[in-house]
Amino acid sequence: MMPEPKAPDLGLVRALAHVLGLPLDDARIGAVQQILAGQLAAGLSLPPEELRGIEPATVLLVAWE
Amino acid sequence: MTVLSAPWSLSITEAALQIRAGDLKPSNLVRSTLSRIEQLDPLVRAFVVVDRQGALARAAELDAEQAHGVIRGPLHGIPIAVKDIFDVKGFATGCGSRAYEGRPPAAEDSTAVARLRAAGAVIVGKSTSHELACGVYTPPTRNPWNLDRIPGGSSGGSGAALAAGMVLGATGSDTGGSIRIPAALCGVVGIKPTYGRVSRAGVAALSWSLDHIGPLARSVDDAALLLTAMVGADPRDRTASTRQPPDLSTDSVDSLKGVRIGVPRTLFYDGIEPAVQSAVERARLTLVDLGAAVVDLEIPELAWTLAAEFTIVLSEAASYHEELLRTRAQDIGEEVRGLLEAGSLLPAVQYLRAQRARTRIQEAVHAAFASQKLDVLLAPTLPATAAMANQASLHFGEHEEDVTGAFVRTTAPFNLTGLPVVAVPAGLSPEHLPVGLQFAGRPFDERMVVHVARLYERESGWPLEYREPVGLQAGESPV
Repeated sequence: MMPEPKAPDLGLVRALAHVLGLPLDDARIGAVQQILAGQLAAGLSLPPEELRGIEPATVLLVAWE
Repeated sequence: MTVLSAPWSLSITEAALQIRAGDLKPSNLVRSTLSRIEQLDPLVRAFVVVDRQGALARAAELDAEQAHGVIRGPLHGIPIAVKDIFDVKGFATGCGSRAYEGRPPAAEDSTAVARLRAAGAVIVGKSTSHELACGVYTPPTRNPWNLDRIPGGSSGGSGAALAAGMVLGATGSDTGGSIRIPAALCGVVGIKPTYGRVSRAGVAALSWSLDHIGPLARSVDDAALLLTAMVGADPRDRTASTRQPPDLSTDSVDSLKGVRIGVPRTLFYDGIEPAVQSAVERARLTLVDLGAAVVDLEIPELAWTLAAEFTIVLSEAASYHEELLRTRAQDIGEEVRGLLEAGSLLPAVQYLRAQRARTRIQEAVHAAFASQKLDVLLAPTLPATAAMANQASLHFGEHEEDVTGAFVRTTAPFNLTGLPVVAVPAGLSPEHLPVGLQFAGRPFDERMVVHVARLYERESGWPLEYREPVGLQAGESPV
């Protein structure tokens, strides 16, 4: 059973920013946490089972010829 | 009362004919547009900088060539605006951000600008960009059709300058719609060519794998002339295509007999203003009258567009601006700064998931073209007309959607697929705001999308002569 995905909390965002050296003051943590949570949720709408066997689009155009 | 025969009101095609015939001097054309800018830019605010002296000096050189019978081509003496994310030699590239202040002037032109200059274009100034090319509002620029509304973005200054008659052509970049969104909202034409068709060298990136460079103009013919000058291989950009440049000259075929056009329903009609929907339906009838076969189709994978687009843009933009975020974050506006900071924290697996979804979208669109034997797709450029400058969301019946998401929803499919697109005006809404539609074609088949857009433009009733936007007729005071 896979655990349910959860939105990142403020502490996690603060810790990640700290580890990555991103200067993120306390006044901005909430706003960034909201955007990040939204993006992570949107990313989960791309279901891994639908992408089985699919490689990333590192070649930028489908070879149509 | 505006005199419509004034040089600034000419199309590139008309001006080129007069210049070739010796009836118009480049310096007169440039002087006319500079006067127009002086008159209207305090109202529209489409320019970051106007290079009056440089433009007149260059025009004088082109006058001299003309006097000696040397005409470089259809862009000889044509005044254009360059979006302020393109390097223009001698000018600092501002990218619409305080975080870029203090940078030295560019040492050389971006490749696209160098090619336009070599073709004879005269750069009269740099047009505004939404901050770091990451947004659709482009403050402080105002939409000439209604000064309370946005011009779109991120190439908003280019769209507004064209609609106001301040230039005859302009450059733009398009990562999730940034050429086509201002084209639609300002009632002008924009071409997002195939990924790699125009070099990105010397243009600030937003997202390397999604950025496209292209022109905006007031007609399909004019945009095609600009694009023809911009294309080609470039050792400064390893993604620039080495393919033969497209032949975008007009041809004698005046019907679309044998052309098959697909109308993808998924995503594009998930929320749409009635005026836009009517315009697309009218366009469909026009295309059928011209002889095209038009078929509806579903491409369910397009539903992943926004998730894939935003994940890729935020991740790549955060990487491109990593140093800026560490050293000058306080100088980046709140909205864009938050997006970049969030992008910095997205997991690599999510980025790759988005790029894998992109592959699925590319394959699905390819399959639709192949199975239906399509030449182009027809879609609304945007689901709505220009939003108010302070408007955060749009309402489609019961459904509410944020402005940026709604606009990118209908443009980003063609960034993810890299397909060439021409965005054209398709009339006015009851509020006298432009409505646009777009034609997307097979990779590197710019010739077909330009052909279809050109014939549609001729038949659609959108006037090809300069049309003064309603917002400029009220005689409002500058702000």
